[in-house]
Amino acid sequence: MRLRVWDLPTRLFHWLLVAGVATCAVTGFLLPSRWLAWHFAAGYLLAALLVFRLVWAFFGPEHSRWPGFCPKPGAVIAHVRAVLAGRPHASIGHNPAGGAMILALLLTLTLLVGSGLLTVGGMLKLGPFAFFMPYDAAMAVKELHEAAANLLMVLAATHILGVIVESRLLREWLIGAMLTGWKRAPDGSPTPRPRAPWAAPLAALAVAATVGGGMALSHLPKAGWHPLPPLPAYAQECGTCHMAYHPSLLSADSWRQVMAHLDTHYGENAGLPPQRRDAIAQWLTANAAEQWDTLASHRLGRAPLAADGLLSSNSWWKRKHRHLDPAVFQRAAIKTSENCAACHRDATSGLFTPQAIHIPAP
Amino acid sequence: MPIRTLLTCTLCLSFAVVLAPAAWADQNSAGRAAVLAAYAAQARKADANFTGFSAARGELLYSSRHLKARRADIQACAACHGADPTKPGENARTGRPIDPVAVSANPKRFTALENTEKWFGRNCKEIIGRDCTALEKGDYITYLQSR
Ligand code: HEC
Ligand code: HEC
Ligand code: HEC
Repeated sequence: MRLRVWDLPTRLFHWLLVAGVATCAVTGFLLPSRWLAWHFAAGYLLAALLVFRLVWAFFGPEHSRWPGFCPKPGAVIAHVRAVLAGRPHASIGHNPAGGAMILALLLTLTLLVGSGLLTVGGMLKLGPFAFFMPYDAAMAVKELHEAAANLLMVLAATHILGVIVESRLLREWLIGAMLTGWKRAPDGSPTPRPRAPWAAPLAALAVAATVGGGMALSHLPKAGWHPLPPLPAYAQECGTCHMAYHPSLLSADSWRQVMAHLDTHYGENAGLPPQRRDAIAQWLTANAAEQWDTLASHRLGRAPLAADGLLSSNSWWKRKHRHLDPAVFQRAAIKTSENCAACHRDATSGLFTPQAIHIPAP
Repeated sequence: MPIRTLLTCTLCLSFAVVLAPAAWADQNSAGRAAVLAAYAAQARKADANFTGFSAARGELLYSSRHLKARRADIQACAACHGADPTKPGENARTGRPIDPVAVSANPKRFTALENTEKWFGRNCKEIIGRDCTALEKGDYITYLQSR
C-alpha cells in the first residue's frame, strides 16, 4: 500500500531549503562579492524556513515531528550496519540514519544562518544584528560561518549519497517521495497522524513575527556607524574636483598629511585660505577612520596611506577589486578607480555594502 | 475708499510677484558686475590704455589648446567645462560633473570674487602654465556672459 507521508508544507519547505542553500553556496563559495545581495536574500529565506520547521517539528504531521529526527544512537548504528550489509529496513518516515542527518543538517543550518546574520551585522552594518555587533567580533564569527558552510556541504553530500544508496537498496525512489509525498508502506500500516489544525496558522504567525522583529531590529541605530555631521564647506571645497570622500576612508594622521599639502594635491592645486583649510581639517580628523567600526574604515581607513596617497593602491582594495577588468575603470561614467561613487551608490555613507554596487555600462 | 485700497493692494502685490525673481536675478548680475569691475580696475592699473573686455578674446582663451598645460591630455578650459559652455561639463581627470559655466545656463556664475579667484588661480596655472592676467579673467567672464 502507499501512504501520504510528507504533507505539502513539508515538501515545499524541503525544496525551498534546497534552493536557498544552493543559492547561498554558489554566491558564497564561487561568485565575487557583488553577488552577495543574493546570498543575503537566500539567507533570510533560510531563516524563515527554519522558524517554520521548528513549528512543524512540534505540530506538523507525524513523520515531520521531532521524534522522527531524534533517533536513539543505537538505532542509527544498527541502521548503518544494515545498509552496509545491503539489507536496510524500510521506514515509513525517516529511517534512523536519515533522521540523525536531518537533525545535523538543521542544527548546522541554524548555526550558519545565525553566524551569517552576526557577520553581516558587524562587518557591513546590515540586518537585525547591526545594532550591537562590533566589526572585530564579526570577523571571528565569519570564521565560524565559513567552517559551518564547509560542514554543511559535507553533510548535504552525505545526505544525497544516503538517499541514493537507500533508494537503490529498497528499490524505491525516495526523491520522488519528497516530490509527491507518497511512500510505500507494509499493508495494514496505520495512516500517519496529520498536522495539528492550528499548525499552519501558528507557523505563519511565527514566520511573520520573525520577519517583523528582524525588520524592526534592522532599523535600530547601527553600532559603529552614524550619519555624518554635515560640513557644507567640505562638500564645497573637497567635492568639486572629485566625490567628497567619506572621512572614514583615511585615518586622522593621513588626513593631516593630505591637508598639509593642498597646494600640491595629487598634482593639482587645491590650496585654500588657512582658516577654511583648518576648519575642514578639524572636521576630517574628528570624523576619521578611528571613529568608525565599518569594513572600509578598518580595511582602508586604518591602513597607512599608500606612497602615492591613493586608496586604490591599498593592497586590500586591490584584492577586493581584482575581478574587475582594468578597462572597466576607464568607462566614460567611471573614468578612474578613485571614482568610488560611480560603482558604489552608498560610497558617500562610508558603508560600501554589496547591495549598493552597480557597475555602469560602457 | 475701499476700491482704491483694493486697487493699491493688487498693484503692490503684482509688483512684488513680478519683481521678486527680478531682484534675485539682479543680485546675481550685481555680483557679477562687481567681479568684473574689480578685474577692470586691476586691468587699468596694469595698462593705462585698457578700454574694456572682449568676448572674442575670451572665447579664444576658453577654446584654444594651450601647449604649456601641465598635463598633455588636458590642454583647454573646454576640456573640463565643455566645448559648449551652456551644457554641463565634466572634470577630464576625475569624471566629476561640472555645472554649466555659461551665465545663461547658470546665472550664479562669477558672482563671488573669492570663489572665482580661487578657480582662476588653480585652472590658469594648470592649463596656461601661469596665472591669468586681470584682462584675461575679464575677457573670459565677458565671453561666458555672452553665452
Ligand atoms: C583642484 C581639484 C581638487 C580639489 C579642489 C580637491 N582635490 Fe582631492 N584629488 C584631486 C585629484 C585630481 C585626485 C587624484 C584622483 C585620481 O587620481 O583619480 C585627488 C585625490 C584625493 C584623495 C585620494 C582619493 C583616492 O581615491 O585615493 C583624497 C583623500 C582627496 N583628494 C581629498 C581631498 C580633500 C580633503 C579636498 C579638500 C580640501 C580635496 N581633495 C580637494 C583633485 C582635487
Ligand atoms: C568600477 C567600479 C568600482 C569602483 C570605481 C570602485 N569599486 Fe569598490 N567594488 C567594486 C566591486 C564590483 C566590488 C565587489 C568585488 C567583486 O564583486 O568582485 C567592490 C568592493 C569594494 C569593497 C568591499 C565591499 C564588500 O562588501 O565586500 C569596498 C570597501 C570598496 N569596494 C571600496 C571602494 C573604494 C573606497 C573605491 C574608491 C577609491 C572603490 N571601491 C571604487 C566596484 C568598484
Ligand atoms: C581639470 C578640469 C578643469 C579645467 C581644465 C578647467 N577648469 Fe575651471 N573649474 C573646474 C572645476 C572643478 C571648477 C569648480 C566647479 C564649479 O564651479 O562648478 C571650476 C571652476 C572654474 C571657475 C569658477 C567659476 C565661478 O562660478 O566663479 C573659473 C573662473 C574657472 N573654472 C576658470 C577656468 C579657466 C579659465 C580654465 C582654462 C584656463 C579652466 N577653468 C579650466 C575644473 C576645470
